[in-house]
Amino acid sequence: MAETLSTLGVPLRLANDDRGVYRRSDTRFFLFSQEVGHLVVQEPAKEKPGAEAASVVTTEISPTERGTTPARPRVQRVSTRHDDRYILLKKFEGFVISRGERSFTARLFENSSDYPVVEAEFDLEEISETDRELAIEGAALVWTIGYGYDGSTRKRESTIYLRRLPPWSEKEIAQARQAASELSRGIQWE
Amino acid sequence: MASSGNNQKAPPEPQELEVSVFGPGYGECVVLHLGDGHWGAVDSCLDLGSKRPAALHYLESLGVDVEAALRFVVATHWHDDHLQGIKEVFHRAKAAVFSCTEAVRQPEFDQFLGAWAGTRFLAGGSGIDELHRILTELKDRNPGTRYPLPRLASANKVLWERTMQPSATVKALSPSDAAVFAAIAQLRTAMSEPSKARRRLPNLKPNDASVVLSVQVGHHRVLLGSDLQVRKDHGLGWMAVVDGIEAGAGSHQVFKVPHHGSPNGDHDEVWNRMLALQPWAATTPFVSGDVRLPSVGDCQRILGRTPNAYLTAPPQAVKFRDPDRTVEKTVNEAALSAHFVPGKYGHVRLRKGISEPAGCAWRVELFGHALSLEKYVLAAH
Repeated sequence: MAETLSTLGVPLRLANDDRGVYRRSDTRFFLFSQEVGHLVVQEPAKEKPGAEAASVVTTEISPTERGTTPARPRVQRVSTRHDDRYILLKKFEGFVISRGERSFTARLFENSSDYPVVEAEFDLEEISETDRELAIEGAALVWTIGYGYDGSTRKRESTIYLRRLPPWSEKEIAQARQAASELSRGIQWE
Repeated sequence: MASSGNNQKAPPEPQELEVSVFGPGYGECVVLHLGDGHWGAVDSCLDLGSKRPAALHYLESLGVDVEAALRFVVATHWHDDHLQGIKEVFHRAKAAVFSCTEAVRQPEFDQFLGAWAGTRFLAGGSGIDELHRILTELKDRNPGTRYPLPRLASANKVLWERTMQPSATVKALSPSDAAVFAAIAQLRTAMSEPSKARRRLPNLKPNDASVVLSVQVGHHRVLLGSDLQVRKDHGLGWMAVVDGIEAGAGSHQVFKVPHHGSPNGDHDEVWNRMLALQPWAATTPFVSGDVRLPSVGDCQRILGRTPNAYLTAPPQAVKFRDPDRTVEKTVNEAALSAHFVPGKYGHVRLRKGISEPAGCAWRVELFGHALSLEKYVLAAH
């Protein structure tokens, strides 16, 4: 029987559990990508004489038991979790105030009560080809700045995209005009 | 001569006129004291320090009872930079007559106002939102009518007056009928339509429906040029104003230079027929996108008209900064340029006793980043 050891002492799970277990092709380790902490499973080498069949039932080893575990299997510490965190440093929302041939300018807010606000000019290359036609005066946009993780790699990211707001509906426009008309009729001018 | 003001909180004497111009580089506000503790506010911008409407911040610092003493509030046009915070100013001014362009009375404006209401959730607000909220407040104020009724501004219409001595009149010189129609035609082009993507209301140009004001107290006159531009059509813009002025309505001694000193707001006939020789002039900067007004050339042109010209702040952007160095670095890498709007902020204050002769000099005080145009031009060179 194969045993598993947690390098962090976290609860262990079955190696053949279907919850995100995969095997690295270059090793004999099963890695639990979804688990918290680092978890290593050593598959018994079938070719070795005397090895048990890999029924791969795992056993949790409590800290108290750990010291008394006889004949520990060969366990190697590896980083198992795929880190895909994103740390947001800044998020601006805003709108396009002008559009040129190669660039556009936007007014940006972290909070709607911001004062002063930020105005920034961007090269159209900064946004996707599909977003470029949306970058007209008044168009809403979002700009996020943060750190993205890809495993052990950290990348500084700046992402700008135009918001695809739902188009006006006939009903909305009719209701808005009705409300404005009532507002206007309710005012007595001298 | 201007002095660097050191006592901004000193109120004017009861029989002293005041014209205070505030401008942060994006926004404009004029506060007037017409004597006897009667105040008025024209347009609105935010004070850069307190982030409150400049008029309220200033009047409260003087110890003025805004609710009773602010007698008129005028929104000259619906551009964002002239209306920031005006709803708050009007909300506080319970004794004030509200005035705005005649164009809002047209059915097309209702459609326009209503249709753009659906974009109010977008960040940043807009001038049209401010106007909508004022209209809502006007509707709420109507029952009982213990509030002064609002007045629509059109050419040669009196918006506020005081018949007791010293008499005072605030009169609109625009928009002309033709300008109202032109503005309505412009609104039609900006109507929202089904299937069109929702977006924020773009700024509509030119500002044909802008309200220009002539303020008279005793024999003193002040001309507030709003953002009115010069148009080829005689029925529009400054040409309509110049053609429409009544006999004896000229010789304004103080001029709020229109449209941030831009050449498209400058008209010879205004200087020749509506202003005194070498009047006191003040303007506000405009900094947005790649536009910087007034340019050094604009300042030189204005100085060619009068040496008594002032600017509430230089039209300079303030470079983007962030406490997080990574954010600052990324912003500066990702954007071709990034800066804060508005940038610098200042206040030009002109005061004069009502009993003083019309030709007598106004006392000029400069606060914050305000400076004379002459000084700005010298520094630019």
